[in-house]
Amino acid sequence: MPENTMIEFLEIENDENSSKQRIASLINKCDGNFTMNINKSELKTFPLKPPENSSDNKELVKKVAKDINIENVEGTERIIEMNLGLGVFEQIKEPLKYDIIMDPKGSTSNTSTKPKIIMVDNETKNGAAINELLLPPLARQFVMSLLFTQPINNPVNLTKSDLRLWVKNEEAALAKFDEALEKLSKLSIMTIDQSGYIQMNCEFRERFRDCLTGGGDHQSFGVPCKKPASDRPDIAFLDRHAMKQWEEILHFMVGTESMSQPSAAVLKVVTRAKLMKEGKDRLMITNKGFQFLLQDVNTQVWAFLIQYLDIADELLQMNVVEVLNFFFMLGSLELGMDYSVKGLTDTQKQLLDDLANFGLAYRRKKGSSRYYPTRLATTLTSGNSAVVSSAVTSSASTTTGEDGATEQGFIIVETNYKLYAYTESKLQISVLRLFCELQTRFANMVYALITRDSVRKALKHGITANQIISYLSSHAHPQMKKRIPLLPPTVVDQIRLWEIERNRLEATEGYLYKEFRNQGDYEMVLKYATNHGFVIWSNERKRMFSVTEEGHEHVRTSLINGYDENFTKNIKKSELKTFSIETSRNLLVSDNKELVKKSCNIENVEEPVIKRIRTNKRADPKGSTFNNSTKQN
Amino acid sequence: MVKALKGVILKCDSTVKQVINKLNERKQFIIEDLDDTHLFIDAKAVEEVKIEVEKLLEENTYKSDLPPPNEK
Repeated sequence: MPENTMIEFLEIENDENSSKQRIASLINKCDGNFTMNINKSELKTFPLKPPENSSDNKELVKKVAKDINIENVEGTERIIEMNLGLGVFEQIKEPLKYDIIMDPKGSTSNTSTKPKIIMVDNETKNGAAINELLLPPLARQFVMSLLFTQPINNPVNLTKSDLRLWVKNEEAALAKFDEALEKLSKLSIMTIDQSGYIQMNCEFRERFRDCLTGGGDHQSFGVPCKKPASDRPDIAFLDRHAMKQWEEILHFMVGTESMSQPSAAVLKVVTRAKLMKEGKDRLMITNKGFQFLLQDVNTQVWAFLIQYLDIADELLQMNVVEVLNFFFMLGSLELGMDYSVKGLTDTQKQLLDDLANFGLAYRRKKGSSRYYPTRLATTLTSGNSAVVSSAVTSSASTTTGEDGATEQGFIIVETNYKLYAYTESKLQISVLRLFCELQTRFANMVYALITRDSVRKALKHGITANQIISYLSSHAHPQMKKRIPLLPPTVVDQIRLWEIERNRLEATEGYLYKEFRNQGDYEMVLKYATNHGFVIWSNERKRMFSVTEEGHEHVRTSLINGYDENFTKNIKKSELKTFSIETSRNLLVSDNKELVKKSCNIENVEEPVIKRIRTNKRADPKGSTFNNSTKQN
Repeated sequence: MVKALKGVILKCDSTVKQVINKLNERKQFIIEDLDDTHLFIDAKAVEEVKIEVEKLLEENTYKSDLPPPNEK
């Protein structure tokens, strides 16, 4: 391997495509010894050398900091990131079941063993992806800087302070530095041994280098076929295939007639994700499913794949790690290239069949040795979803002959509940059919009515009025958009009214408290329940109120129990006593005590009772509170 | 002594309440008539009540049988 090629190879390039091509051509040129060559030559070729020992560093410190021009070290701004385009993963809010693999925090709880397993299982094969996902920019920078500067078997001894010299001597920068190092060590990428030397995990380093240079027998970026097939499908064909397969799923969801039943995997995913639920004789779209339809293609694909991951384990008996690996790999493939199924595990081959079904990949026939990723797959990891979806839709619109209006909006709603949709897309018409009564179909438009029955039908499926309204307004025709308000208020209000009409009954499970002995008790318990937000309904005159089921537990444990223990007995026993108070209101406590002593027929009248009476007599303006009296007891 | 009853609190408008009262004549499920817009009923009866009310209200909704007017 000529040395100049290597230098070229390690440069950071702006254009992703050209670099990919260059790497591909390099790989084609080289033979199996490729990685070994790198190992030998890398020390010579890599321009940036870390400070070798602390004496050098001390000299560096003496100089004026500003005069030292070390590139890429000033905080995060100037760091050159190697963007592998996996940023999109961070946008997914739904927590994955596999957080343990993805989340550095998750791995901390599992002490030392777990991260290592992850390294072997996953990161070794897909180091680039994981690395990119997890690490803060500074940590990435460390990894990238150290990756090629040290020979694998003879690591240079670096200490923490050596590394610290790479960052600005400012508080914020140092905090980031600490955070970066902590993350790295938590993931076992870097280890700090007892003597304070920092080591990069050898396995990780080796695999990551392989990853980036395309060496080794791993397949993080797919295994391209040696030579392209003579009749390989062009990109337009792949786009058509992708859209056809994907729309088939969407069609199935909205229930377009004459559509064939999708594959078992699709069925499992949609039911598991609650996008559809069992209807009378077939699956019906749900609220969540409708929301799903409103999203752009990229989001849909991701949501779908995440659900797929979820079922892969238990329903399809697949190894989740392999599935996840394949997803990552698929995201880094190049559109229009041939890839070989060689090297895929059985699970991944099975997975490939499913993905071909979803439209993420294309195979000429089942068992073919080549596969082609489609645009849906290659844009999986692109953070630039807007561009993607418009690219896909525009390619779809050219194939189905739609005009550009589909993207901008095509629906006109009139105040008389008539709806005109300028579209030919079967999918869009099917979506409309969910909440409209279709009347007439013309060459380029559909005429429909929004009626009570049609809206109620949609509401019954769990689609909300707001979803319908937001669908109408987001797909409104440009002509409609000139109007303010966008949709006729009568229609919007009526759709909402139809929804409210369905919910005339509101049922809440709970407990009803009644027959309070006195107003004070009632108010005291009510006050407690109100303060905690448990009360559903209350009526002072009837001395009743109801609390939620959850609230009942709280009220009971904290108050009713106390009530029982402290007062029930006493109150019952003191009933007679109360009577005597009413007849002789002016009796003092001391008199009471005398009474107790004198009247031998009243048994067991204890001190608390008298105190209780006294509290009542004080006539607290806010109503005698329980707590006061309890304290006195 | 305070009584705590388990059940379901129904919130509805007074029209629906009358409908439910009517239903109650057939099968007793109202535990407590709270006020004009609230009822306390047996939890077992909730689903049935919902369906029955829906049915009754549906019967009393006016719908035009006329075909939609032609385009001008």
